[in-house]
Amino acid sequence: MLKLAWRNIWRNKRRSIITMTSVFIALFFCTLTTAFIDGMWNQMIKNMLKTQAGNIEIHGKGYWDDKTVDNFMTIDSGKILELSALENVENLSLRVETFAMASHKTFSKGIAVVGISPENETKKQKLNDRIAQGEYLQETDPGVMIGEGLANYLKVSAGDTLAFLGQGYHGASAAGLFPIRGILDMPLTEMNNGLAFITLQSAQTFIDLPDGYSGILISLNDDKQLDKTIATIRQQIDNEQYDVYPWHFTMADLLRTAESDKAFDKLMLFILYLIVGFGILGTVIMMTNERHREFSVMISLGMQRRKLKMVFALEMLLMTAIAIVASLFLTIPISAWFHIHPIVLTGEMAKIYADMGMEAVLPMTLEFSNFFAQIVIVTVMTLITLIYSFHTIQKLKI
Amino acid sequence: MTTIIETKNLCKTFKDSAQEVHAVENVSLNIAEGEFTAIVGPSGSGKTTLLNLIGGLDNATSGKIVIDGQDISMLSEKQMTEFRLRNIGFIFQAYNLIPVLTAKENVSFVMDLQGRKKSETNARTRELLEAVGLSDRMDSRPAKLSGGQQQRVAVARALASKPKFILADEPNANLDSKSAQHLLEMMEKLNEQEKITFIFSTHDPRIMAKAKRIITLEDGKIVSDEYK
Repeated sequence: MLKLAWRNIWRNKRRSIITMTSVFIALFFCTLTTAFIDGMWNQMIKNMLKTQAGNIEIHGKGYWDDKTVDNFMTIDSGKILELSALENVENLSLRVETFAMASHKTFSKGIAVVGISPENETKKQKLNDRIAQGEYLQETDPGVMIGEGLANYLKVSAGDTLAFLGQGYHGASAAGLFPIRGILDMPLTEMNNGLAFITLQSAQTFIDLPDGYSGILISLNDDKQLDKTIATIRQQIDNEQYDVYPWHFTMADLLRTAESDKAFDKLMLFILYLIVGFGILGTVIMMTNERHREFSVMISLGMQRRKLKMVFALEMLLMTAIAIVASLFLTIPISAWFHIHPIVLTGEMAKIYADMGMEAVLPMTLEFSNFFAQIVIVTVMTLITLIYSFHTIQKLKI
Repeated sequence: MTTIIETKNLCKTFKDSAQEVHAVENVSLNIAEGEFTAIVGPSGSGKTTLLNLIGGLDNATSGKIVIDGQDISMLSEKQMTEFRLRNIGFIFQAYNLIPVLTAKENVSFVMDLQGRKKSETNARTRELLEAVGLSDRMDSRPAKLSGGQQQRVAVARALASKPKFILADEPNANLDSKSAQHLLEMMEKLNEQEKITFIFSTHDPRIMAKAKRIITLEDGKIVSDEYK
């Protein structure tokens, strides 16, 4: 059967080569496009996790749905040390995030106030590299760092003092004076125009909640161990008091954007596959119709229709397999190369990435699932086109 | 001699929107083992239709065909295919060899379908191709063979399955006279020496001259049945 199928493929070499080439091209482009798009989004998420968020976030019960000071969490330093020491935990960032009215003389503006550990943020966000004027906060500094846009709006510079007025814990008013230590050049306009960094201690004092945090961001060494690490964290903390979220949850908006972007690309790939699918169908129709007589003779000689269908299916699947092997032969090394040596962005894009503290690179993914998915699509497509020949063979009068 | 084919009141009617054509009408005949029979008659007399009915390639409108004690009208399509594989050899007017297979592979094709052992298949293929005088063209594909050579491969293929009888539909029609003569002598020899039953549909006077029995059809009916 295999010999017969193999020889039948080559009885019209040109047609078979065109069919295999079209399948090869579709596989080649679809595999690489998917590897590139997935790689781009994976890199973006990786960058976001590294700089802006954490693979895991811990918040006080109810904080996620109602982000007010009253839902802040408290946690003792011993527990924080325990969590930092967990296997797979790369970095742990404590945060106090609240809102306040920032004023200087006759100017005021509503801003986000973020309490940070200045030393820790040199590792995570590399905030120290963004100082445009003045100096970086020290760990026990009572001062503030603000974005350039906000400084321009309030007409302040390093050395001036800002007054913050906001809401403290349990309805208390929060008020404080913060000398400006540094002006930051933040990558995003929103951050530049409406963000202020103070130390954790200052923030806790400001809201009148010593040991209070809006949340803890945890960066992991290996995201594949995410579920396992979450389970370990849940064992370590009081689940009645805290919620533990994976980044899929906290960055759901970004993931939705990624999914909608990928969906559009998938639509493009679907159209490409559809064109190739009709190409395969054309070959199947030609290969079936030109062999009616031959099929009849084979059945007359005693070949069961089932076996004849198998021979024909084998022909088409062999052609598909050749195209698959050829495409894998090229796409695996290409994907591997750009996975190890990502495309390095240059010019304006590179600057934007660098400003955000992100690596300005676009790697390709090297996931087995990507190759497997393309192979399955092409194989299923071939099997669908075989319905025509199977139907013809079944109905063939000998 | 043992009867291997028996037809009783066999009828085949083709219908189209305008009319009914009685291609075979009330044909009852017995063919015994080892016969060398020619079914003759003018074009449209029903020779090929009768051969197709006997070969299980077409279904009778009414009547019965019993082959070696088996009423083939009772067989399902799948069973009939298997029955043909085990019991009937075919030689077609247009040879109908499988173009992508060599002469050797065309002959062994049927034996492979029967599931015979490779060694047995190879030996019989060689033996049959030697018998039809093509031992030197075993590895040639049909396109590289002359019409006469292709038809000899077809004869070898028909014999390969060790059938109970061989149905040959105008086997000489596409051959030159020399090839036709050679093929006929070969089939006659096989009939005489191996006692292989041949049933021909033919216009060819040379086959009629060699045939031991001539059944003449006209308008689907047997008008004469003569033994020589």
